[in-house]
Amino acid sequence: MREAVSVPWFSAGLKEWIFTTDHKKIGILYFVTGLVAFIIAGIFGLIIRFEQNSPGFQVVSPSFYNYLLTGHGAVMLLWWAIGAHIGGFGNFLLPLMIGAKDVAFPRLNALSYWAFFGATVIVLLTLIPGNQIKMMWTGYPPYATHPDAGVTAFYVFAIHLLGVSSIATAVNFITTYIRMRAPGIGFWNTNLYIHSLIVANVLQLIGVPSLGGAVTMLFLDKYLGTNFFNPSLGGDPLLYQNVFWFYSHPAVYVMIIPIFGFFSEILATFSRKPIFGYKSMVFAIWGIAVVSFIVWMHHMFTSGIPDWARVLMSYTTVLVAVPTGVKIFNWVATLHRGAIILRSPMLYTLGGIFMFLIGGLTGIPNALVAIDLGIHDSLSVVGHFHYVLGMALTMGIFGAVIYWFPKITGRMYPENLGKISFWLVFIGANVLYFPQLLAGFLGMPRRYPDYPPIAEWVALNQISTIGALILAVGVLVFLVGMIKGLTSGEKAEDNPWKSPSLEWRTSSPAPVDNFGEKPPKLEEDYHPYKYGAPPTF
Amino acid sequence: MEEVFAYPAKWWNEAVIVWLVVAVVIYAVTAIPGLYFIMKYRFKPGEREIGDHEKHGHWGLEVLWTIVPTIIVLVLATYSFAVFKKQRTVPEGALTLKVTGFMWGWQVEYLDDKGNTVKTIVTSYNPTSYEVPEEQKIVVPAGKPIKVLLTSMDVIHAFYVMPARILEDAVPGRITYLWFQINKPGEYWVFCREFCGTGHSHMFAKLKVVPPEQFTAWLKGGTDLAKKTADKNI
Amino acid sequence: MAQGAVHEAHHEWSVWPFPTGIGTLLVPIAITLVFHYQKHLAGLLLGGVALVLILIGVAGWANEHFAKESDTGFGWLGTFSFLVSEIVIFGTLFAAFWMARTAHADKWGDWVPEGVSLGMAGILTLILWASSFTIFKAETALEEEGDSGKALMWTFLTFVLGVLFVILHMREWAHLWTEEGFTLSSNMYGTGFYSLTGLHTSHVIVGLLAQLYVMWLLATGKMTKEKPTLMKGVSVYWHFVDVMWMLVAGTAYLVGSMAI
Ligand code: HEA
Ligand code: HEA
Ligand code: CUA
Ligand SMILES: [Cu+2]
Repeated sequence: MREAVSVPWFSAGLKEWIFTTDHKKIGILYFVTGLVAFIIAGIFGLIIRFEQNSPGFQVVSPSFYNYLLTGHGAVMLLWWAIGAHIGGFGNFLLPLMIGAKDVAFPRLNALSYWAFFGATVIVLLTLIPGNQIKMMWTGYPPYATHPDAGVTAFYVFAIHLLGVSSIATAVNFITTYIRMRAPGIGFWNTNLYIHSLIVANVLQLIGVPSLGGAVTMLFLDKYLGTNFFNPSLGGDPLLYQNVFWFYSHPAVYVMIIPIFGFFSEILATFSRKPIFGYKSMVFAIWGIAVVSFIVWMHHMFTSGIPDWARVLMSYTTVLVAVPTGVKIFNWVATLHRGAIILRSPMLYTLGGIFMFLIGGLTGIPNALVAIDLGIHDSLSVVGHFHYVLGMALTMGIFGAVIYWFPKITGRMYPENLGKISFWLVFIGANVLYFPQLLAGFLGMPRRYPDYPPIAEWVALNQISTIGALILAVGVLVFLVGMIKGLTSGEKAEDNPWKSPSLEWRTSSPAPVDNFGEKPPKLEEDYHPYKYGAPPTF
Repeated sequence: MEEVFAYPAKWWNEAVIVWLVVAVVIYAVTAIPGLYFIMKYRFKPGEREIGDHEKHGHWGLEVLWTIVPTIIVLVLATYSFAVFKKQRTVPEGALTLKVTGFMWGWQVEYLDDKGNTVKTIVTSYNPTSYEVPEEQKIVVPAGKPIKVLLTSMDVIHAFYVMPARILEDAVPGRITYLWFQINKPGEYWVFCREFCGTGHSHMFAKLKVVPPEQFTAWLKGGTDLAKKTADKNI
Repeated sequence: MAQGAVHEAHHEWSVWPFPTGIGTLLVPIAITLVFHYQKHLAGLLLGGVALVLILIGVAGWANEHFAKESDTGFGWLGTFSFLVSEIVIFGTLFAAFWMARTAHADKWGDWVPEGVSLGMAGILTLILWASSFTIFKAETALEEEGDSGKALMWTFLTFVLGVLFVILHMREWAHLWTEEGFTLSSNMYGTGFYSLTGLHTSHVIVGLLAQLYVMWLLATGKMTKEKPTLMKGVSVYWHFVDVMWMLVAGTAYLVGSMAI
């Protein structure tokens, strides 16, 4: 192993952070920004919970509730579920896992981050009283062009800046992967995380401009008087929904597929065993990606689109379950005859997978058009996506933080805090989100700050609030663990988990030039999941 | 014939049960082996330090768990298609209501066979409570199919007939429809289920289901229904 | 090896993305000030600052690249994947236009103004075709012959044709807007017509700016046979703009103005 040439990243000065083009520093900037956004949006989520806790308006006014929910949804999805891990871990890991020095366009990468940062500033501006946006993260017109919706322009531009950021990142990552792999890394021995990342970025490349187009029309309609969504002069409000979901459905796979990548990496390492069915995993993620572009109308089942379109999209939607199932079954089969180590990243991964299973299976009734006619825009949809996002995705990210903590910081994440936070998050989240599923099937609509005192609804909402509190403590413990690890964590070895994967073959923390002047030398039969010596912890 | 409370809720309930059974079975089939492996194949220093590197995959298994789920989802989707057809096919002789959403209330017009408006009810926005004045309740006959034509004056709303478990959006510039039938007299909720702004959570209506004779009398005007029907909330 | 040396060897450090990024943040804030808060002066001032920042950023960035680094050749693939995104952006407006066109086929005829001139669309098409040819010549001159002078000449011709296209197009708009009273908000045809052609012309303008820059690089000898990637990128982009024009013209002019 080479001697570490780098000064650890955390001793870099402010100037170095602002002007850096190093993929690792940019990754850290992305992740920290995303994490701060997650905390803010999480606190919004807690206030939402307190408001929904019982009928009547106790904590906030309905209009402020709408602002909180808009902020919660948009920030959680676009900052936490996309920005934090694609920008953060994607940047950090892509060059390391393929043995490159940096991404293909390092300066463009820095610009991506600053655009992301700009979007964050715009969102923070909406915190100033009088500047709120209240059209929900979906921003449907004609409501979004109505004065009641607040500063539509901020919503539009936050998405534009994110769009610039995402497209630049996608161009960058795709070019990097195609052109910069170290000799010895081919398509069939790339880490599954990298496959996932590339698939996600292909989806971004094709999808994001569609969202950009949708919100641009919103801007033009509201401020320049065009008629895109004005039915009396030939426009159509459903146009927006079509264009919006054409991106925003694939976006949910942009969010989850890289998390599947984390799961694969961590699961293999802590089962000390190659991923079962590596090839079918790769086919599965591409399968999910392709099908994801022909299902968007499942968000519009009750919007008045023709019946044949609903049935068609219902069929295509359920087909996504097949490749997703292949992944789940492969993971379970990976556990078979492994040597399973239940370290905290592994706990988060297993928790994430089994909660994703609930999230996925509760996606099916939404996809079956007959059932969706009764639960569209109910709390059960909210339950569904919190299972996949609030649990599978968030646990995936937490697990990834602990797993790559040594490579990123040079120190270990304190294991006991990792375990405690896992159990709190796991229990809290289930207590929080499961009642939402039930309340939805009992008819409770979503986006309701107030509701009539129907006994079951009240009870379920109160259980939910308790769960949210447990979860918040869990998240707090996790954050404390990060700080403790950073300041006083045990010093990490270069390869603490004894993984054969490439990113572990450089020092911890990863040095500025990754592998030195020349690309790393790989053995003839390199494969990221070929385990040898047991770990030493 | 068994007593059916409401359509299409009956079919909807059945579909939910079907899905639930399938989901629980799939969950069990996946999670139980998973948990078992986690418990059985633990890392033990000196004894079990590395997993089995021989098994990289198994074509038979992989094909199996591609095909079986494909069949399951296609069956489910086809079943849902069949139910959907019933949900969208209005039975003969339905009473037609024309409902127009606005921020934040509903205007309900009772149409006769020729499509003329016979009677109109407008609910008013009540930002603080869920009480409805008697004259703003939407009265419909029990045991008769009711077709609702929907549109909106301003932004998108959705008309959710809670006891019948059915909803459809009210979109400006379009006319959409749904149908339902409630067999048991009583008072039921209608909610707006598409986000429409500050008053969204208070954009509701009360559906008052009464025996058909009473309904006919009410439609002609003048009958005070308040005393005749029991006040039942669902 | 000291860390400093690592920094120099491959840019771990660049001043330019930051001002560019801050500029891109200020632009939307300026637009919001103007359109949402009606604060025109503040908005314009801020917009000015933003443009200056972006210009400084981009100029410094490009200069750094051409002064210090060798050509990695990745730019072409980058441009190409970027164009995938561009196609989808146009796609959203096409979707809007076609949805309205088919849904309102009956009253569409009333919306078409007298003066939408297919002849003009034809002239514009010819101009763009010609310019695609000239930029092709410029590219081959640089890449195959390494003749910067010749490449400069062909790029200049492309530029002139592009400017001509923009001027004629703007005259057409001015005519329709003021004399025919056919505006963005007249009806869905107006909305679709101006947004499609407007989006396209904005791309033409970006292409023209890029060509100006290429000419400067060629004239100062910074772009040579060894560093042709930017030329390739600009040329691919221009061909894309040309192809898009045919779809835009076909939709906005042909399909749009024929009342069926
Ligand atoms: C990471 C995010 C994520 C993921 C992965 C998914 C995954 C899925 N989602 Fe979800 N969804 C959201 C995030 C996500 N969703 C969000 C945010 C919304 C709300 C948006 C809004 O309105 O604000 C939403 C809403 C939403 C709707 C619209 C509901 C409505 O508004 O009425 C629908 C409808 O079809 C749907 C379906 C599905 C399906 C079928 C999957 C499938 O991909 C799931 C597939 C997985 C499985 C099925 C489990 C594993 C499979 C097996 C073990 C194989 C065997 C299984 C069978 C045979 C069934 N989702
Ligand atoms: C990645 C996505 C994501 C995540 C992780 C979450 C996480 C949470 N969400 Fe959700 N949510 C969405 C995405 C997400 N959400 C979306 C897309 C919507 C729909 C929006 C719409 O309708 O448009 C939604 C809607 C939504 C609703 C529905 C409201 C309605 O329809 O009326 C509710 C209600 O309970 C809710 C609650 C929560 C809570 C309590 C959490 C918790 O998990 C949060 C936990 C985090 C923290 C608590 C912060 C960090 C903790 C600390 C710093 C500890 C110390 C602090 C304290 C103790 C105060 N969210
Ligand atoms: Cu009307 Cu919500
Ligand atoms: Cu979806």
